[in-house]
Amino acid sequence: MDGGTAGRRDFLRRCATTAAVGAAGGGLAWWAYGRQRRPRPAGAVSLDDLAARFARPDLPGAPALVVARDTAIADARGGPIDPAVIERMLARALEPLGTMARFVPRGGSVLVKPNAAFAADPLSGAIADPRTIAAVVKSAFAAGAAEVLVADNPIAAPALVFDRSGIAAAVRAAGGRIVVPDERGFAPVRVTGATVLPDWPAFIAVLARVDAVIGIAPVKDHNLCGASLTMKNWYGLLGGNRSQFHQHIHEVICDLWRLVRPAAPLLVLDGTRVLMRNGPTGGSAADVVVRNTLAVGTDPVAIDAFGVTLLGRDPRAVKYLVDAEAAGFGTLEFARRMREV
Amino acid sequence: MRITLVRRLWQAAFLALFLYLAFMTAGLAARLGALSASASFFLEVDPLVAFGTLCATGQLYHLGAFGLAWALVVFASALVFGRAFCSWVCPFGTTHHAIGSLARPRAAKDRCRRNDYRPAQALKYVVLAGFLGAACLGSVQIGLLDPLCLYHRSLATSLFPLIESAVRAALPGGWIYAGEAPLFQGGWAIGAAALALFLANTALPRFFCRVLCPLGALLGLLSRFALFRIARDESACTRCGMCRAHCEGACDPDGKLRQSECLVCLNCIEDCPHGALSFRLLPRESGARPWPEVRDRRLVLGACVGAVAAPLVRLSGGTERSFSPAAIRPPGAVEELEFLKRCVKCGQCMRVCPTNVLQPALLEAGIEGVWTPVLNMRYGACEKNCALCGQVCPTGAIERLTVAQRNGEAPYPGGDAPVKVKLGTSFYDRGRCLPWAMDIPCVVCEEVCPVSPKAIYSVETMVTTRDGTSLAIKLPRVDPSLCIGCGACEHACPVKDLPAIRVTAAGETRSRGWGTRERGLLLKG
Repeated sequence: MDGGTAGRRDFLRRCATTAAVGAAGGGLAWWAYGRQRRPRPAGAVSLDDLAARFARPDLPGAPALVVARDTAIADARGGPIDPAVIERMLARALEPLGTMARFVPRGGSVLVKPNAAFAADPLSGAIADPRTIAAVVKSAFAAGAAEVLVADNPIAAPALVFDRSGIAAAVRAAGGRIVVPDERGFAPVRVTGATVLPDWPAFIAVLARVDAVIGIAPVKDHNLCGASLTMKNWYGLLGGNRSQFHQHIHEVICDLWRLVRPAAPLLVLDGTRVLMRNGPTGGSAADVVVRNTLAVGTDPVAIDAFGVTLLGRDPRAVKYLVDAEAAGFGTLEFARRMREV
Repeated sequence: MRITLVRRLWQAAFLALFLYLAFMTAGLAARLGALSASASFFLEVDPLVAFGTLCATGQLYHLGAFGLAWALVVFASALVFGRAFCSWVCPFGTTHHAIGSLARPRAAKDRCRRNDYRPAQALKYVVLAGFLGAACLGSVQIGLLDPLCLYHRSLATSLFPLIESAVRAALPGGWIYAGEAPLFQGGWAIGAAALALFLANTALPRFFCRVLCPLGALLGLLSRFALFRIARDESACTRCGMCRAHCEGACDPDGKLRQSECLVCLNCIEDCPHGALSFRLLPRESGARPWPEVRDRRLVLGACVGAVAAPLVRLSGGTERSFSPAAIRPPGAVEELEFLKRCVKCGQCMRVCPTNVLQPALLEAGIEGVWTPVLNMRYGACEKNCALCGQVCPTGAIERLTVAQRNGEAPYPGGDAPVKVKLGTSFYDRGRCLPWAMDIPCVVCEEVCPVSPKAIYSVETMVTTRDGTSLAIKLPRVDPSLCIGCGACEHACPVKDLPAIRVTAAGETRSRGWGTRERGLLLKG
């Protein structure tokens, strides 16, 4: 074939190829165009949906709060607690509440949430004592738990916190498991009836796995809200930019209880040492006073009000406790529903 | 067993050890609270680290056993076996060796050609002279190209994070978590530089080792005195050139051996079909060129460039006067001029740091401080109960303090009185602070301040709000005599992009309280 144009057969073949490529491109665009979707954040979950799992038997006439004291558990400097003594105290205190077996379903999974906010020495009073945490872990296993997870989302670097404080070693020795948080474990949680807390990232990965929740808080002074006790301890279940909480701290603390209330947690207040000032971080032995006290209960207002008295202060001066009582979370008149053992 | 197999096993063992130690520097730190081992040992046996800091400081740093004196082991090995370190121990060299082997052409002729000597190989001696010239004038820059510093820095700030993030992404979204992955400012550039050097092996095998490596240059100069070297039996040699096929150093084993280039890989001995090559004690002098082919005046010129560059970059200030507010050094760091004589930019402190606050400097510490450690509180805050960075520093740029020494609760070894280390001082930006500027309660800064009594205190003050009502609000302030510059406040501030409280270097004290008045703040305290 001479001349500049292609033959008929050639012409048709090349036109068909071009058309096919064009159609493929257009088809891909058509398909992808139809796929346009606005990225949607994950839907928020609520612990209300899980409430059935956390049901526990009623115990009519049980006290709201049991306080155990012992003169021997810590020396004057707040020095190490004898683990055996703290274990006996815990068992004694849990007796009137129906023992640990009431809170831990046999063969279930338990989340223990200690206050482990800082990479501090336990003697500083800024975190829950590792021996108290270990005693709770052992007690949960003795009550038939299949698995005990110990988790917190601390303010300081998590791995450093658990290792420096001795919590990781004590928990592992007791058979428990430390769960170090990272962003994939968090999903937004919706708090029913929240006053200020919007849908907020919470450590859902552990909350959705367990059948019981136990909080362990030290007794601490706090620079803004007055006292950091069991209600404020739930702060460590949340992620995100928590620094914003201070703007409405009393409301947020009440919302934290609204968040966790469906899990009906057992509350443990570790008053062996009390951080009297410079809280919530402490940092000096002079800030700590030895009280040799352990309190357990189910009423967050009563147990925290008792904790405020360990700080030598008036519970009614702590705004979030007054708010919590008004919201029906519990009673500030803890003395009437308290038992000492 | 074939000698090259033995060599490969040695190489694999040292590479694995190096990678393991570098990897575990982060994990061990968190698990044990104190380190039991780190990759520091590789830096301590590195004669360039020892000699470079010796030129700058006039001393070999050691704390406890040997320290940088371990470098004598490699020094001695060069005097006996030449550059054997490069092909038997150096983990960076082993990595290049492996990549170069993978990129080998098929035809034997092409293989041999890639291993011809090139005049560019003389460049590394000029680089070495330049670095040593700068070191003698107080600016240690060897870490930019020293293979062990370069490799560790790249692993710590980019290659490990790259692998770790890929592994995390690939793991199923279960509920077992490894914690947040660290991030490093400018880490991409450090990683890209290392990957570019790895890629260069496809064009020229062991490009870095042959052309750039200042440690190889130092060992090459020492190998002039080596007792052992490759010897060629001229009566058996047919000049077939097969010995070049796998020659790592491009050192002409079929001619006059270039002793300073020979990496002692011993491949030539096995490749020789006539058995003409051997590794021998004190062979005839005429068979080799003991000295590298580089003109003396080039070396002098290189040293002069380095010696001029060091004071030149300081003419813009920044090191002493007009220091950057962001030049916040880790706890235990020695005084700045001394620091620049010691830091080899290996990045171990950044790897071990459990809070990710330690970052490779961009220009915070001037052009000569690039990739030295500085604190950036937007990545983390310096933990008061931690002194891990000083435990891994091989050169004493960060002194090995205990937590008690860092916090001024125990005297230093040697009897210096206790001094509380201050990294800088916090300052409020009241225009961005929620209570100060917007009548919104906050004081998170006070909450997280870790010293007792707290350096941040707040005073409850009555303010009149927009609608005319009165409000009691806590307004925070800093007590500069108590502030240790840890940055807990800056890191926790809810104003995330440009925090309303920021630490700057003013008021810092270096290790043992040494430091310049230039960076001080208070006349007392």
